[in-house]
Amino acid sequence: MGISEIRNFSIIAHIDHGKSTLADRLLEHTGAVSERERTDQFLDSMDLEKERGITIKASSVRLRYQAKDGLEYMLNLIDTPGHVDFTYEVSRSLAACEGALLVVDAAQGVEAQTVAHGQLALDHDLAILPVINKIDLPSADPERVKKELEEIIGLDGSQAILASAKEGVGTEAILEGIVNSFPPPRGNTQGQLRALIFDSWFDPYHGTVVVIRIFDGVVRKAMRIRMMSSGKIFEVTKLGIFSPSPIEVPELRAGEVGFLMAGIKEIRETRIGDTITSEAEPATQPLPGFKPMKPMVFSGLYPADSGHYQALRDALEKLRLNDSAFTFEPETSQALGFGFRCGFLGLLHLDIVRERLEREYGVNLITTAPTVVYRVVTRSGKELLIDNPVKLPAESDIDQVEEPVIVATIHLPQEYLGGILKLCEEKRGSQKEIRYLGPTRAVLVYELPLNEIMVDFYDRLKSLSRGYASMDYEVAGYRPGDLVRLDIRINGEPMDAMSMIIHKDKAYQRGRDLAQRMRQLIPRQLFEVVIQAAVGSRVIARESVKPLRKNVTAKCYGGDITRKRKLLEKQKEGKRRMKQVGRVEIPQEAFLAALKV
Amino acid sequence: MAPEKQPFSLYIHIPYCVSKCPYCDFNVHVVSKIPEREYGAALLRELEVYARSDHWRGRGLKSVFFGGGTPSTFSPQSIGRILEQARSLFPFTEDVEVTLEANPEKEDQKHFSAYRSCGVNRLSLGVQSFQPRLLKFLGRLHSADESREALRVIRQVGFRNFSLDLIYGSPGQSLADLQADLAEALSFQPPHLSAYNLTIEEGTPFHHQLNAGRIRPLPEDEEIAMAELIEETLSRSGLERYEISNYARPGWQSRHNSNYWQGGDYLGIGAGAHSYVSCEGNSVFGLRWHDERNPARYMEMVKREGTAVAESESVGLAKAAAEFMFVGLRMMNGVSTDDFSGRFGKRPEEFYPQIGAWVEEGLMEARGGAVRLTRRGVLVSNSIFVNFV
Repeated sequence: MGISEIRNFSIIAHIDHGKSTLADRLLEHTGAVSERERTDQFLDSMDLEKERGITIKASSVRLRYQAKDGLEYMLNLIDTPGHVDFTYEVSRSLAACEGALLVVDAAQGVEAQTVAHGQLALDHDLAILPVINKIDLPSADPERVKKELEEIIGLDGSQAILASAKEGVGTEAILEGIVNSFPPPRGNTQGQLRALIFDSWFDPYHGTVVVIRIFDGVVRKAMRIRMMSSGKIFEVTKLGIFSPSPIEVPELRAGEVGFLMAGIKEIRETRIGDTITSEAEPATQPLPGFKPMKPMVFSGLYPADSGHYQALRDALEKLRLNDSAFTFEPETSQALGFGFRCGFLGLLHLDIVRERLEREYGVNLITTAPTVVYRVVTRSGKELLIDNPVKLPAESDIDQVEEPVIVATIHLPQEYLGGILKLCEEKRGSQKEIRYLGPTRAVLVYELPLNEIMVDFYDRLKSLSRGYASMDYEVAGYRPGDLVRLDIRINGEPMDAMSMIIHKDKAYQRGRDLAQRMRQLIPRQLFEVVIQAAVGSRVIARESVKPLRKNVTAKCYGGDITRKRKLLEKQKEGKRRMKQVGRVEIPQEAFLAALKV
Repeated sequence: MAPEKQPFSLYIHIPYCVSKCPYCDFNVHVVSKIPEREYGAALLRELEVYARSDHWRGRGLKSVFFGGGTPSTFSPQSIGRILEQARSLFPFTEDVEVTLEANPEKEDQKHFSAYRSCGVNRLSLGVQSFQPRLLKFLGRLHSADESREALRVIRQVGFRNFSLDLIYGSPGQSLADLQADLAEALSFQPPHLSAYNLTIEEGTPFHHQLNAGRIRPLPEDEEIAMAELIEETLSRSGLERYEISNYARPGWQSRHNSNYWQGGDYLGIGAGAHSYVSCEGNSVFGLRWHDERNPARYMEMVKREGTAVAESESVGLAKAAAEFMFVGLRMMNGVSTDDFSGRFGKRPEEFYPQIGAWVEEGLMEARGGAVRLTRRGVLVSNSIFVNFV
């Protein structure tokens, strides 16, 4: 089989438009998964991904397809993650393809991610084949969707294949479409090796597994390879493909997709978007588009029970083996004791990590208010990067604070435009563009401070538009801002874990909300608990939790002291789940309130 | 003299009631026919067996308490037989206190005189309230008039020592209602009175009603005001508060209950009854156990084995000290520093350094050779006790 019988493609879709189901149908139809061993949504292997309905980790599967033209084709299906936090990873997966199936729900129509990823695919010069899925739904309106495809993305709607992945309708047409509308890869088997890393993960038995697309040359077992971004050298121990179970192969040639193992112990050595070349005959230029992944959001993770510090460290280390975007280093908090400052791609990433730590590793966590990285220029001209609000220098020492901004592309039905414009303005956005796509839809492009979209922007966007608006974003540098640190004090003690950097105009409202939430969440204690929100030395909000007045057992019955002790022990257990700050006992939920206000 | 040779207290549980009150979560059983003879026999047998054990043999008895349930469901003959047996096995101290809990119903009143003749020298009467409305709410079968009559009978048949129980804090009860209850109670000049704040315990009918929103507990502030009113009113009449819920004229405190609160030994017999015996030894300070709770199974076990221990535990230093504190601090006099350090080798403040902070906050006092809760501390005592366990 030559390079002309290879097709490398992705499926791109808005969440829940049927990507995983369609992938399953393609696997079944080509015999990669027999009906009998079929489990739903085969590609989403982790429990967590299934529950969230998103794919965190890209994978690739090689399919063999006997086309109607009589030839056998090698189809490499490359999966892409589907959330705004992972745009870069999506772009690297797309870079490994020549074509993309753009799946659109026949009832929902084109959504923001359809457009965002569709645009991304066009930017990578991919051939796009639209698939209108779920045509079996009573509310399906394929004609409308075709029009949207034309008007919004500029694709030829008449080319769209009508399908119902659930019912298996249209699978054959899609496979023929892949063969006929997507170009074969170009590439020179004779050239110096250039392979794009578009996914990697840690396997406890084999070390890091790297998923690659070969653009030029051939990679073989026992070859010495070099990571072009770091210069590190490894020796290939295994090569293979997923079909979908792993099968070893002696070599991977230009145009092919497969996996590679080379005794790589740390996943950080295999950066997404990096180019692998051979040590003996290195390529002069890496493949374009590599960006080292940088965490955008930081938060302190602390064990709820300080005795679990070591367990948390072990869990973080294990997690890092498998997640190169995630960083951590030890830090201490006055309020919470020993913990770790962790970096994430975005809030979703933070949520996923936190959930995995709690669920898979059984560590009970307290998470501090998440923060972006601020750039501070001091009066003395020094430039500091601040990933923890506590480290912000005193106001008098600051010349300027800059905050990271993003450019958000929001797709929405026009009827929700008013509310969402208001939301963007409230979040200190500045409008870059507003476009109308056809009679009903609009695209908003806004520059927004990253810290403003971190907390509830996405949720509010969804609720303001009854779920119809969708968003994609890209980081767009730093802008100066009027930023201050908001502190929370409990009985006069600063709660460093709850400090946040915030725009001056919002500090008052936020401080008040936070203090009120805390008042509701902190149980009454034997003494009054005073909660203050402050900017610098100025207190901007004050709430108090009145002291507990009555907690007494009327009757200690007939010498049953064991029972009384057990009741006290139960109360004690409840106390243990709280964090002791000074003499005040604070439940974990109060810390979460800092994230949720 | 070794500590275990000290006189001890005997608790006898009579688990039967004519009906179960909706607030009650004690080991109480309502049966169509009370097996008085069979249950009485089990008690006698149990006593006899324990009298032969190392822990209790030959020790003096300073108090006996018939609790329940409703002990007055048992005839004076049965009660008398048990007391006879106890006296034959353990020498009664000269000032022995023998209490029986009784209900005010006519049926029960008839026996008061005979109880006294057979050796009971203190009655504890479950009055709860003199307000018909509140009695009904509390599921009591007796009337206020029956309570009045019962109190008259008690005094008439010669009980100088008696106590009455009141429950306060029922939904709908006002401070005036409470005041009326107190005034009426005081008119009988009781040397002892217990006033229990109504507590809604898990698993009781009240608890279900609470969850279903059918009853609403009194606001905390009102309950606190009631507790204050009780202490004030009773102390004016010479009844001193000596425990969270107990009041007595000087010298008339319940010896039996005080023994629990002071960490003394007690033997409990009958279904679900609890026992504690201190031990001499390095690691074990004491043993606790309780009998099988179900009366039928209890009787079965006693028949078979002579005793009916369902569960037992040994109490080590930390546990023993904690218990000594959270039980002892129920008393207004608190925990004697000497007594504590004699038992546990360190003063309470050394054992529990938090005591200093509580003293500073006005929740505790540490002087006069004792640590004790202040009135404010009493109100939040569980939040303090939790730090001992």
